[in-house]
Amino acid sequence: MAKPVNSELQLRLQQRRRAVYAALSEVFSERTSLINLLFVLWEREFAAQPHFLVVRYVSRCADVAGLTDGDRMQLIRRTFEMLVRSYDSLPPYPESALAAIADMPVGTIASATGQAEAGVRATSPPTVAPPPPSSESLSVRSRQSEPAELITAAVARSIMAPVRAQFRSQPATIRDMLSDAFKHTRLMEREQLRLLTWAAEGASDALTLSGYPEEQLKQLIHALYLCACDALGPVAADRLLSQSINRAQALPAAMEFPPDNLL
Amino acid sequence: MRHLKAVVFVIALLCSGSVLAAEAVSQPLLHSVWLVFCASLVLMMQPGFALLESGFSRSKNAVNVLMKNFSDCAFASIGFWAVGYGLMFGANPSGWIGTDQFLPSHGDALGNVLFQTFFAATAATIISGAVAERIRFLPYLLATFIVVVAVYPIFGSWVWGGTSESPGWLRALGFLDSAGGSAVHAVGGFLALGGCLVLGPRYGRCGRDGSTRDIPGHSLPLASLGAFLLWIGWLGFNAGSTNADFSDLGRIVLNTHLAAAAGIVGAIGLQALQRKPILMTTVINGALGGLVSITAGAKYIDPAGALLIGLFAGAIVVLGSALLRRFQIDDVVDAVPVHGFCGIYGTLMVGLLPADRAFDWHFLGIQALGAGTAALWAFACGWLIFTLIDKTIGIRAPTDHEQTGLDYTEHYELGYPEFMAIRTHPAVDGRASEGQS
Repeated sequence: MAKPVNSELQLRLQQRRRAVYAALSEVFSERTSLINLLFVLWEREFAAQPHFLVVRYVSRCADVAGLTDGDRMQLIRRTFEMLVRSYDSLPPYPESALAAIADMPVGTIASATGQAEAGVRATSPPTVAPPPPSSESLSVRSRQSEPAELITAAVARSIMAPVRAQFRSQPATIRDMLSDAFKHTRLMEREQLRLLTWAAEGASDALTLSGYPEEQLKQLIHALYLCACDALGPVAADRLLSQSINRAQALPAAMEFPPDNLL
Repeated sequence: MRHLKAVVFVIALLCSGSVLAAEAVSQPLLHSVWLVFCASLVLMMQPGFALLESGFSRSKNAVNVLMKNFSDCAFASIGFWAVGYGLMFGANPSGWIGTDQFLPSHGDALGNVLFQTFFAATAATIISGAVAERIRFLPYLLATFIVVVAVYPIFGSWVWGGTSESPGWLRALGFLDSAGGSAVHAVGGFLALGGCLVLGPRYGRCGRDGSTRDIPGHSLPLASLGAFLLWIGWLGFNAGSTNADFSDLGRIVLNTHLAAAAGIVGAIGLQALQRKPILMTTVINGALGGLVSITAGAKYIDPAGALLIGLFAGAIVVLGSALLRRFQIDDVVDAVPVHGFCGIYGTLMVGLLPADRAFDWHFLGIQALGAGTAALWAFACGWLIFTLIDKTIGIRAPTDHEQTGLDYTEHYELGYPEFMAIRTHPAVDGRASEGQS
């Protein structure tokens, strides 16, 4: 026979759920998919944990999503701020979102969360190339995507982060730079459009790559390198490319697809 | 035995400055030995250029720059010996082009052939640094070859060609250029300008806001060593152009040295006046600007004049470099201001400062005509050659090669395989050498 649920405990769970969702919404604004995924992470692993483990939750969010120190601190601040509010003063979380992904397997959640890293970084000041995603999330992702595509996506995000930071308010300029870069690459038109769309959306979502031949992946990285040259100068672009490749070496997928292949 | 005496004489001359041995050898033989000695010094300018240009380039292009210098010396030497020397120094009845002495193989002039060959190699290699990091290797060699078999010797024939009875047309007018301030350096510099314009800047060098970004070279120590080698070689470059007249030897060498020193002072002084950082790169180029500017007149100008010329040459290098940046012309080593602008300037100064013809306006006009002709001829030829090559076989390296670095894409070799802080190329796994063996 199931033990009756204590109403006070239930209220506290609801209150914390609202608080966490509100904090995630404030920090990640309109990145709904990322918010939902991190919310599920909360529900799965931290909802029933003691109050002080909220810090560990934020840390886990940062690891999974590759948050910068600034984002991490912001998330901690906002979460604690929300947790001390009363239940009624917190906005309700959308039950539908929770229900829709509640049954999602853990691997899928980690994978999707990893792919949403770019979206997270769009809200942070990426003056330096971001660190590689955690090995945990990547190991899950590696099982689901081709290593070449994972590595390429990681390198692409890493190259574009400082470009986005520099031209945060000028997405049209980034598109222009990419369009100019395409003139020097052998990137297929379909891939060009995909890259432009990605840039047009602020390069905030994951760059989904599937079924790309290796040569096209190289051309894609080359186009981004040229964009970085245009945006930041060749010296910074060289350094950025080199750092991105070095960082990608640390990913598990690099065992199967060395990032050097993109050079 | 005569050769031995000549060698002994040169050693005595070098070691003690004594001229007592002068009577022991004949003048032509002495001149021949002197030319060979100076030619060796001029050859030393090639490693000088190689190190300078390589140091001013990014590490991913270091080998490519060295390869260009090494190879253009070879191609230029063969081409100039076979064709260029005849066009330049052959009989010149029209005053426009030499018509004999192709493939010179005997006679007393072979010392001069050797000396002039290294001059031609110098003119060719000036282009190398300006167009570095984005030009394909073989098309570059083709351009170099055309320069030494046609562009350089034809202009040279106007300045130095023919005989006193049927001289080149500029020589006939009284144009003076003792060691190639216009014929070698201005020609090389303006050829480089044509090449830079056709090639365009390195990707990302120029910002969308009209700015020009710095692309620092990978090794200033190498560049400064190269500049010192050039400085030493320049002594032979100018001192070898004495035409068997050794009376001015000391003055020529002293002038050369003083102009280089003053070039440094000029570059430092202007940067200090502008309250800008005193850059090593600019100081190096200031020295070279001083050397270039005294090349045309080392023989005709006194040391105080040389000092003055060098001083302003240092400033011209600083201002010329800024001018190129303003027009977004990408000259990796500032060859255009150093060789082009300072070559023209030095040639003009020959019309202003020689003790016996100071401010002779007619003479200055002739010098201006010669300097202008050098600039126009070289720029037009450079633009035409590079454009033709670009339109036919392509001359600009693709951007993915620019990204990877020309060391890897052109040569499959790396300058610093174990010490690359910035790596934009795949690992070299030795397949190339395996293939060769």
